[in-house]
Amino acid sequence: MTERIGVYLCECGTNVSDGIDLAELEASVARWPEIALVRRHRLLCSEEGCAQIGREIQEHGLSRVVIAACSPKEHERTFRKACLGGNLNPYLMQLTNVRELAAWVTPDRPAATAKAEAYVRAAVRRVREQQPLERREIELAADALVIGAGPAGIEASLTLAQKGRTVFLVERHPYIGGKPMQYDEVFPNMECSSCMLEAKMAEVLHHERIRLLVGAEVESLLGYFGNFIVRVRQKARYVNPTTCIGCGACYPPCPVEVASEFDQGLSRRKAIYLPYPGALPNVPVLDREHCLHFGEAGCTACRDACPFGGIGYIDFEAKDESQELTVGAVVVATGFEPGAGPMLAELGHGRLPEVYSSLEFERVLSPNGPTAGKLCTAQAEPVRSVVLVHCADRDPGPLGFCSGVCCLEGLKLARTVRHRAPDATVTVVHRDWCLPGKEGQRFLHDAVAEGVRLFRVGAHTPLTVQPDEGRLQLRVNGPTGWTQVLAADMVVLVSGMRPAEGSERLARLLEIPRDQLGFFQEEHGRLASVSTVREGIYLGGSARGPMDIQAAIASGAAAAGKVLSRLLPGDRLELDPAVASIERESCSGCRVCLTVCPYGAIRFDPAAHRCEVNPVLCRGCGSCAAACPSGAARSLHFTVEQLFAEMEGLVP
Amino acid sequence: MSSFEPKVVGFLCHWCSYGAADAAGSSRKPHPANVKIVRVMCSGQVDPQVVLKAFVQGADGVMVLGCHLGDCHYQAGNVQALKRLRLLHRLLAQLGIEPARFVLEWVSKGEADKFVALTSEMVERLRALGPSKPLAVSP
Repeated sequence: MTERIGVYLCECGTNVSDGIDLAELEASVARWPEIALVRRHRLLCSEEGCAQIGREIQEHGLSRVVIAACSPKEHERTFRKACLGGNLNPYLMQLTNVRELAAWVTPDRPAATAKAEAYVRAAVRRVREQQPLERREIELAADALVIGAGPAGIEASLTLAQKGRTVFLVERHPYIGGKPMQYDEVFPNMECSSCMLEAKMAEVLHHERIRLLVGAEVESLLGYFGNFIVRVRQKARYVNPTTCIGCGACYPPCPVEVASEFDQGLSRRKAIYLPYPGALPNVPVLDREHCLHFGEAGCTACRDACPFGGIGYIDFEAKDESQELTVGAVVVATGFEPGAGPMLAELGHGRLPEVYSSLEFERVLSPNGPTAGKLCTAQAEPVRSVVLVHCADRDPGPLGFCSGVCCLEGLKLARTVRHRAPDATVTVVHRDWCLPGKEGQRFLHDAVAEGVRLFRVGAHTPLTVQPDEGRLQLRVNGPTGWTQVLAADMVVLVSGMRPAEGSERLARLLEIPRDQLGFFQEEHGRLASVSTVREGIYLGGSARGPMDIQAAIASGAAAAGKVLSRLLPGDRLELDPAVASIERESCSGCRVCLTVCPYGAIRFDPAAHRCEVNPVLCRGCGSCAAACPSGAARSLHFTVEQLFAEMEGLVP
Repeated sequence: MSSFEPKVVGFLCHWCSYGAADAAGSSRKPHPANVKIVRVMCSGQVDPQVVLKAFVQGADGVMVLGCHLGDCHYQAGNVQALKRLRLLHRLLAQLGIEPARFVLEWVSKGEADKFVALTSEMVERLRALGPSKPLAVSP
């Protein structure tokens, strides 16, 4: 078929025409075969220039267009649109860059003109090989995935659901509410933590637009903003959440006892259990690892004890389930882990039973904790003295950081002890005070007014904890040789916040960076603190750094706000058709392409023993095409034939 | 030798190196007229056949320029390029094409000067080497 190629030479004001003799170029091009017209124009990207291209495509029946002008980074889109104006498929146009690559960088005019001619010749050769490609659109998924059902994740989910978005709320624990569920009271008002959050949690459970997946984790994420394909794996609970009423009859007969994770190992739980009384959803979970049904014994004690007969309530055959969700955006609200590790161990944690971490002590104080909230020694005697050590895990070096939350946490624990055991002395050993916000300072005053004693030590002052005749001794070794000894029945090591377990894996999976402390990194620490560098993935709560419940809820709402404003239902996403494509006839099924694709866009069809490209996931990098040994994989718009033709023109 | 002007084809990735060439243009930093540029989306898109084709067409040197390792717009296309084109280097040697005629380098969008330096050095090197032996294979 004979082509009718239109070639447009842009003077770009005088930017191109000063460096290149366009009259000479025009005369040369006009002599080439299949050139239907050559035009010089003062400024092709102008409205008038584009209109002329569109008009002449029609008037002259042009089948292909070559434009010699500026960088495709600048005006490829403009000229594609101009072609559309003339009803020509925009992929039948080639823009060659004679401004940046010739006119501006080749001071010798004849040399620049010759170079420009080579570029135009290459483009004319290439454009003959180009194929019309159809732009496709997909509707954006306006639904969202929220990872983590703590205060931030709950707030994000509710905010999104209230606006009509479907939310998939994924929580790896079998219950929702996050860390505050393990606390007794929270600062600054000494409110019951689980009661405070109860209303929001109940709303999450019953909201028709929130699909809650507890005991679940994200396995993979493909795609991009507006079109993420997420695989979520939900562990079998073995108890049917739709039939079970949570009466609790199944746990007492269970013969197994293991350490309770929820109580930080300070109490025992059964193999079928509710993590804590009042846990939501109020459905027990069966721990397959320890359950005797799955051993030789084949125990069915729990099912037998079910007042409803057990069948249809407890299902030992239940399997983990993996499901694929399509969402437009993701909110990461995976929270934090309390500090632990060697610094706490140095102070006796893990070695001396009466040395507690702050989270363990929360459980000790909790009415639903291991001692039902009673403060007593191992010998069941009333506690006479409690010492809390602040900054217990703070690195005093340059990599150390202040979580900004734990001073209030420690003071709160101290005040709770004063309330529960008014006869006991409570001493807070602190290094600095960090009491920000409207209520922090007052909270310290209230603690002192209630009789909490304060003992200030230097940032580097060494502390040791030793056993002493059934009690503990905290020794403060002052810098000038003095030593102060505090006797205690319990020592509480108040620690800061660390990145949640599994953050590294999740960061890799979501392809978002973490900061040097290991928290998820904000797009910008101040200007964009709930977004990440990856569009469509947002951060809520302490997943991005230490914060209290108030701030976590606010940032969860902020992350949801970002989703609501960026992702509008009905919006469409235009897909670039210049993606990869695999010719079925020549594909040998070797799967090399599959290993080099960074986007999981290639699927192997075992029945046909062929690979195929998902054009919605492919971003057109061409790695597969370059790697394909049989030439079956091709980069559309950058095919080998097109590049060959370009070179034939470039190096004649 | 002094009258010999080598022909060089450069494959530049859209996101980094082509941006550097653009930047060299907009800051009017000349690069040798002998170097002709082909835009690709990623250095990982450069099929070894295409490099061979350039030599068959009579290029005296070929350059593939991509994003710095770790900066690839497509995560690791440049790493794929590196693996693949190392093998090509050896193949070229067997075809009688000196290794110096084929260059794989990383140039970020901000490195207009590096782009100019690399292309200028390439041309100098090829001037000294002389014309490439004609390649008879047809890829």
